Amino acid sequence: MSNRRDFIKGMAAGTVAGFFATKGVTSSLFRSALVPAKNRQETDIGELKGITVKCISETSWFDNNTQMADFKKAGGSLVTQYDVEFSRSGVPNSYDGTNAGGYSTLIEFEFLDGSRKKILLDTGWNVDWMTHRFKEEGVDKMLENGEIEYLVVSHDHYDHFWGIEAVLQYNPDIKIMIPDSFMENSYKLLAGGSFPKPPISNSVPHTGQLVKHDLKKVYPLFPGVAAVTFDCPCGRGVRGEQVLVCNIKDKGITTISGCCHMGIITLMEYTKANFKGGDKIYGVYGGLHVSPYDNWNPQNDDLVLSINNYNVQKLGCNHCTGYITAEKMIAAGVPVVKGSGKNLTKRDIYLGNGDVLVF
Amino acid sequence: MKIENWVETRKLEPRWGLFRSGILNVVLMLAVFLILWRVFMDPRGLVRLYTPMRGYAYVQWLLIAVLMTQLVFRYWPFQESSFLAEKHPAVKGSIFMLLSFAFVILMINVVFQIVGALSFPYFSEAKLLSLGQNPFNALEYSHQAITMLGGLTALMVPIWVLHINNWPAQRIPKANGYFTSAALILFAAGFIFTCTYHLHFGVLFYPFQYLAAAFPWWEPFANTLSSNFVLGMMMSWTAALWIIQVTYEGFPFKNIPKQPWRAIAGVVGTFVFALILYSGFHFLQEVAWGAPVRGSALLSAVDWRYLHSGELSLFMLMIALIWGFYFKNWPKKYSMEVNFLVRTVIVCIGQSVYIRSAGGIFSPFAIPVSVYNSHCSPSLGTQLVL
Repeated sequence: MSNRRDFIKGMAAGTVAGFFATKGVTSSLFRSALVPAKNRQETDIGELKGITVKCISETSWFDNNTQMADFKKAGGSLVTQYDVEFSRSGVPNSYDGTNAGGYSTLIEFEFLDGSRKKILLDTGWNVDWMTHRFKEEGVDKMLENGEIEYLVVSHDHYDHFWGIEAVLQYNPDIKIMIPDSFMENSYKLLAGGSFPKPPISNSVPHTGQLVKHDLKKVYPLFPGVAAVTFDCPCGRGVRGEQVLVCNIKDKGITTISGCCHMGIITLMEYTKANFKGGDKIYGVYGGLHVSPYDNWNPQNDDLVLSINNYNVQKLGCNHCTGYITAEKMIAAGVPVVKGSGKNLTKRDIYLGNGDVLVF
Repeated sequence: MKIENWVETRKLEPRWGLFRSGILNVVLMLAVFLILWRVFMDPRGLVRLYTPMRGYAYVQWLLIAVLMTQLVFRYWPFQESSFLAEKHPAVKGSIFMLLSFAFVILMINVVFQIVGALSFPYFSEAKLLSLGQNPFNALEYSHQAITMLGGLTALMVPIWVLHINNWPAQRIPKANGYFTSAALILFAAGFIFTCTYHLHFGVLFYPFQYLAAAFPWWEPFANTLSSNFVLGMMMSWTAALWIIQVTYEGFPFKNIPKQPWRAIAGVVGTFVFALILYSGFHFLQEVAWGAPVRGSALLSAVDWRYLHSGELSLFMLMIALIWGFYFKNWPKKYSMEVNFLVRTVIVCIGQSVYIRSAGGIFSPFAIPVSVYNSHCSPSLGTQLVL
């Protein structure tokens, strides 16, 4: 009898407590009072007339299986990038038998007064491959002549930064902008260090100005152009990535990213909340970090199904976006810009090495 | 003489006072954990199981071996009191650990390989490789499937034992009954796995199976296609079951003597408690970081918020277990309601302390990536738990 009474007492107490606990913490009353509203800041970065983006290299590595096998052999997902021994020979369909390629983009801004300025986003990885690509696209001469204002390093992942020698060999004085979260080894590489395990080295120490961008901040670069830093884990010991946010007159906001580790939806939400004109997103260029190895997770479908809500007019993706993601986005009606499938880019489904996109 | 319920029969008394012994136990356990991690899991260690899924799979099934040995098989065939009550703990521990490891290796390296070869390919790394999957994905996906089924099995064991009275073990003579219960637990876990996680392994080969991979049944109300919605809920349910059993001493469900009412009340009641934890932690994340955004990554991702709700529940369970095992569920001297309330407060504070200090405890010794994004809440009110 007492058991039954205790049970009923306990159930009643538990139910009442549970009711108030769930209702209390999830009711619309508490939700509206407690869940923070989005702060709109409306930073005005000005406007520019247009942007021309040239993909120097988006093939960070040439063979997914080799790349994943290298990481597996090194010990899995927690191993930092400087502790991975990457394949040095025998990789099919690569430039020189190694698996290393790289990501680098030449960006030309056209301002409202008609003037133009160029910057380079990221250095790539394989110095020989990047030197070859720089020569093919004339970037070597632009660096030597000082036509390129500065180098913006989106983050210090191997495929975005380890090709630093390929840039510095043409202009060791170039001004470089990095997120202030570089790995210690990345600073050493910039200063002329070498690391035998991956292997990677830089025989041309940087002698120019190094600008460190604090995380979670907006840095205006030119009229209508700003660098925005995000505090996000990028994997392999790398933290923090900066992207370019540009405001094109009469068109809208265009984002240019290296890998977009913060997520393209997160980036567009940030832009909407923090920039004047951010509600109108016109263009997107860069790696979107969805399926870099062309494997899939169902949560990636969340992105594919959501991206059309942002009404992007031109989406120039490549690199770590993955071919499967591009296929799925095209099937969902996203305006993915096609490429030419040349210069060792395997398919023309998205913008590849040597392709140009005008915003 | 045979002892059928050794866990409840034995009495462990603290040697040096409750709190001193408790703290020593926690420190010793942490040290053992860090050594085991460094040897077996760490990518700089000897065995390097943390790929991560291979490591998860082995730990998950080792946990099942321990749960099955204690709760389902009740130490059969070592139930003689001359063994259980009189042998040195090191001897007993060695034998049971050997048996547990044998069970884990049998399941992962034999049973799942056969299942993979003959029916569900995603349980076998070798089968996935033979079908053309790359080595990294073959390793990770096969062990992910093994881990997820293991998670459900670890959830089914306490449900079966505590609320369904280990049916039908109590009606069938000894070993036959134990094996029947174990088989039913595995069947129940397999059935739930088929309804929840199986769908997701349709993404292994492109083009995907449209219905299987893309639109699981929870999508309309979970606002995500990810199985983290279910995974987080299962994690919270596991936490709820054991928190009720340890912190609240099985109350109020242990007061129901008759079946099926005990089973119905137990399963439904613990699930409701799990939903309270799950939705409560989900809401706290919203308070800390704002509403999740579909398709976004990291902190704002809908699926990550569900997973993290489950993780927060398990952090709470970890403190509840430490308090229950090493600090004897202090206090016991007050009325039941006051005891429960004090323990709840202790568990909540312990969870907060753990979350705030975990990075300092485990990095960089246990986690080689020393610089990680901190996702602590900017809001003072939620800082304690997130």
